[in-house]
Amino acid sequence: MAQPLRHAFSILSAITLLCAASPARAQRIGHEVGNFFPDVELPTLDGKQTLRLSSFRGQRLLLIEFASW
Amino acid sequence: MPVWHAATEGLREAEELIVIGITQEQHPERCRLFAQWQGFEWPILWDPLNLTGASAVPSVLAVDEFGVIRKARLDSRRVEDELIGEFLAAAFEAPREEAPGPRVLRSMLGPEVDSTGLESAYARLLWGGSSSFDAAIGAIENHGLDANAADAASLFRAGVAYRMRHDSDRGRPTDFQRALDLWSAALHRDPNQYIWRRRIQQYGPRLDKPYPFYDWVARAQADLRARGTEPVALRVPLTGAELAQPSNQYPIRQDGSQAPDPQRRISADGERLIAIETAAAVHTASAGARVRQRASVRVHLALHPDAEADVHWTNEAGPTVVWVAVPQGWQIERNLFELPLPEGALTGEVRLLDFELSPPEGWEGPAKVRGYALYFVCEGAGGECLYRRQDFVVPISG
Repeated sequence: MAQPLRHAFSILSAITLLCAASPARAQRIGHEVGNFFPDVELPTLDGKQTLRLSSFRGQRLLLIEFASW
Repeated sequence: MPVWHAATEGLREAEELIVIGITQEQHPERCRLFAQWQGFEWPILWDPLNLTGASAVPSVLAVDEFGVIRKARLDSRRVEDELIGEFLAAAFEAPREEAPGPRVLRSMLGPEVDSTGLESAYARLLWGGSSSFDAAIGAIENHGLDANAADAASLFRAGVAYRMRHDSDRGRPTDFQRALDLWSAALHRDPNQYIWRRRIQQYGPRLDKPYPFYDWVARAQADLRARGTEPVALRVPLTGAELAQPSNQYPIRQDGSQAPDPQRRISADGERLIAIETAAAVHTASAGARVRQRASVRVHLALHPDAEADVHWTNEAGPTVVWVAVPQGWQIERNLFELPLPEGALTGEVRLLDFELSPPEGWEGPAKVRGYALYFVCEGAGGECLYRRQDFVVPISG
């Protein structure tokens, strides 16, 4: 029984390592490293413009989420 | 955030980096004033509905050319190594899948789009102006806002919608309280959502404030005027709650004032020349705290002259006063409030008052706080001027 378990564990470890070694994979939307940042379309503060984050694809962004308080 | 503005100036000018701000505030002009004061030159997006799903701010993220977050919780003291050395210098592989697009789009305002969907309701709130708030709230309500059934984000966003209508020319007397109740329901579902918690605390009691929210506004306005720049105008007036400093003291009674009309001698405002709107923001500790803390409450009153009847305050006759009687065992700093008089003999502004109460130990609600306002008003510019009383009741949930 110990042998098949060890074998299964090795396969699981290999899959885990493979996933960890694939930094290009972004499967989730969220705020953590490796996530896609949610693609939102929002007005600017003065309401005069609307920007969609995906319109900046191809450029590197620094996103600052903040409040004035 | 000013530190990030300075730290990224060269990178922005060299077009190596795009900087975009996103603010989760309810009132966009306040953040606009802050950005004007600080001289921010990058675009700032307004996300009152929390569409990004951020649970706390500030948060600074480096996002690659594919939309993938490569650095989170960036430290402004480590721009050289974290941002330039590790992020901008790195090569990233394209992800195997495409990121999903936005669910809320400005194009949803178009007539061909299903106007009953939640997403199009949110689009109306963001881009449709106050004339579309009723329709947006109707659509949101039709989707169901039962606190047990609706998802927490929908409850929060519905609260934002009500507060937006409250601040517009379409406001209804119950809108602010409905917003507070929906935010509270959302927070009880997800106590770790600090964007939602702050939305209540902004209007809440001092005991619940992590910091003063908008005490910087007067300094910003003065600095801008000293520079010869007209500050961004604030469309929604700041309430006392939004300027108040945090405190760890319960309200301590400071005056020995007497009720101004104990015998009800002043005629009641039966025609409702003034509409009194009430709301109560309750301490948020009950959401998430293992041991319930003693509650405290910030009560908001707004006195609206009837614009259709051309009702005005007549300021030369005297100030508006408000008397508040708290239930047995409750504490209040003072019972009698005199509202400041503006310049001008006749004015038509909405008069605001907010004050704090603390219930007795162990109170879990509900309760009712009663009071009345005494005011001088005139019907029309040349019409009859009257001294009137109006009683009010503020329901407070636990």
